[in-house]
Amino acid sequence: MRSLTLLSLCLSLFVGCSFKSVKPWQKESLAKPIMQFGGIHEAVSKYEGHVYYSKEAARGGSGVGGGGCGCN
Amino acid sequence: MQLNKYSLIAILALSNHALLHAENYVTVDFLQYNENDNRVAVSAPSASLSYDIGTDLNVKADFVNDAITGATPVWQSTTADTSSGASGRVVNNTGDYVYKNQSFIDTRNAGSLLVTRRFKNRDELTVGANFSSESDYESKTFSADYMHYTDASHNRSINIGISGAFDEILVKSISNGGKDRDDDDKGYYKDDDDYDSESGASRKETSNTINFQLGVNQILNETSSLKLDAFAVLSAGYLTNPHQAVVRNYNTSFQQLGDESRPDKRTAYGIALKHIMLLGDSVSLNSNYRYYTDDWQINSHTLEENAYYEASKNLTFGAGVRYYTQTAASFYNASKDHFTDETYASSDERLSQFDALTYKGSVDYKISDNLSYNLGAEFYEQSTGLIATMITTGAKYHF
Amino acid sequence: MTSPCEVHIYASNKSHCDEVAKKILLMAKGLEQKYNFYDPNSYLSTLNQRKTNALDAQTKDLLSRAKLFYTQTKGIFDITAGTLTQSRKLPTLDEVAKEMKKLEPFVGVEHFKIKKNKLIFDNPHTLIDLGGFVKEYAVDVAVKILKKEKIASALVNFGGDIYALGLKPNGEKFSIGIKNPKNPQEYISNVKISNEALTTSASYERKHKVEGKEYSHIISTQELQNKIISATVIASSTVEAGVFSTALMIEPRLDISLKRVLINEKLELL
Repeated sequence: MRSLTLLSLCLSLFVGCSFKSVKPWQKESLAKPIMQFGGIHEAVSKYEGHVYYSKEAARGGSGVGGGGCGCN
Repeated sequence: MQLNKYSLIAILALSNHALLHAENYVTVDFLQYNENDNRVAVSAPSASLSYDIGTDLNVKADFVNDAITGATPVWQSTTADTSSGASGRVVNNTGDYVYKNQSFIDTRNAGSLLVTRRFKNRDELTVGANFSSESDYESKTFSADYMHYTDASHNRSINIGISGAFDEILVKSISNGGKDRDDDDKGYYKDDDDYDSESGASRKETSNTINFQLGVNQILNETSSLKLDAFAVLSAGYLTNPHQAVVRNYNTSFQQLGDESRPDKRTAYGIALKHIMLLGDSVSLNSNYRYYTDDWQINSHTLEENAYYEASKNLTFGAGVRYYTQTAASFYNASKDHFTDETYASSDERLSQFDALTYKGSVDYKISDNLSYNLGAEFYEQSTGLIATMITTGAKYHF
Repeated sequence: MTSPCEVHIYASNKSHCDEVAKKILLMAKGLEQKYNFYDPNSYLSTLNQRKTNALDAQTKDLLSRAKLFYTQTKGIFDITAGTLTQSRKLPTLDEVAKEMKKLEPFVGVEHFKIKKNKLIFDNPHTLIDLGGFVKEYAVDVAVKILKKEKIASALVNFGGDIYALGLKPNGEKFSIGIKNPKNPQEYISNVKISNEALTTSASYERKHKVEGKEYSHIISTQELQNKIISATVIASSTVEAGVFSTALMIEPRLDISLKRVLINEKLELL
């Protein structure tokens, strides 16, 4: 229940607020490799996720593209 | 139309984040993972390839080979002071119980394939398949993810993704009894007619997991973005760890080493919030928060902060800190005097209450326009006593 | 006694330990001789042959306790079952049946009385066999000796009949491994005891009888599926534990307030 409240709060932020409209030619900074959510080393991020999956109980939230492993 | 500098940038930048990933490259990486007390040690070479077919299709493939060796703490037998029972000398002197490392060696091979189709409005559909295999475990995952831009300037996109994982586990019973758990919540034992508990033969178990994720990605201004996702992970089937054991108590005094037992369903959901921003020209700051909760009574918070610094055209430094905390599963207990024979039970420390901290650093060096080399180190410490280090090194070649 | 016997004594003086161990061994041998059912010169035999009826304190105590156990186990533990022993040795089944039929009326603890220090039978045929609990009794006497010698920590094990005196020098209880009745080379369970006795009764399918002990002719009412193949009981005396662990093999539903565990054909702990 707490997470749902948090979620609707965040969603309303999105819907309610008007964000700055950034034009395509203004997106140079956003296009930089260091400005991507996944980091600059995909193989490392993927393996990090694998380590956390095997050593911690929580999972999810990092996209659906990953795979499974026998490390539960 | 005159092609001036700004228009060129516009055309290049019209490409959104996705197109940037859609380059042609090959990477080769080597990761070395080690735990304290000679527990698990893993050497993992991996390779990946990204290839554009035309302007609207991209294929990504990757492969990793883990050589897993080492030990995990588990309840096991040690010696008793004396014995009682039918005559015959005890040879396997397994009497009392102790929680300590048990060694194992295994290899894992995993490979995945992702195909992304870009549409005229720059929406994207990605479908993927992943296969992972170890000596006693096999997993197949299929996924589909759709990204849709809600505005013409592509400042906001929504993502909806779903994946299904189908796992097969080979199980060898630890206990003398070798009985299976029932489906109902009370967790009473039931017979498995096909399984020969006396010989301890292996049997195949399956489990399936559905992962669902829905999110929004919003550009805030020229130098920052926000991403919010809600996710759900639903698992059903054999969710027990076949390498773990618990000590069960019968009639309050008599103890026996047996298989651990977890419920055969697990429902989890959570939210993940990510923020990224550029400071000045060359420093980026990425903050992530994830809240997770499931019906095993595990709640967790993850807070991560990563920073990159472009020191020069060729050199990028990275640093990061991650804090993780979780509560224990309702059926977890570390003691051997706790469980009776009628409960779900686990003494696996991964289901216990603990905190963890990760510190990491990396350096990325562009040797030439096409070739870059990276080196990274991570230090991970759990309040359970687990300490792990990960050294990564790799090269990326654009073509 | 043909079962292996161990005595672990923890004390600071080794020669004292050796002395005490010797005392115990001597006592055990003496008991074996005194109550040997098959030796016509044993003290028990002189009682059975009606050559004497004088009871010493030890025997008087044993016999009265045996009477009590008869009631508590609903007749399963019966020291007069030895009355039928010889008849089983007759050459033909016919003769065996005839002899058993003749002697059956003389089986039962009601056929003897203890008056002052004398043993009184009400017929010439009833025989007493203490084989069912002499071993356990020896453990209890050993503990008496240990306590008298001011030993605070010891573990006595006569063929699986155990008494744990005090705690181990490291402060822990004694750890006892219960053998897997189907594979006696390994343990199936573990229990910690202190100042308690523990005995286990196990049966072998082949023999179709409870190991080494002659009990009442009451046939077990268990079905084959849920057949109990091992019973372990914890009690304050080894004799009590021994009587009940074997009684439970015959009648597992016997309601006793002692700590116990039964193991069935499927090796489940009940």
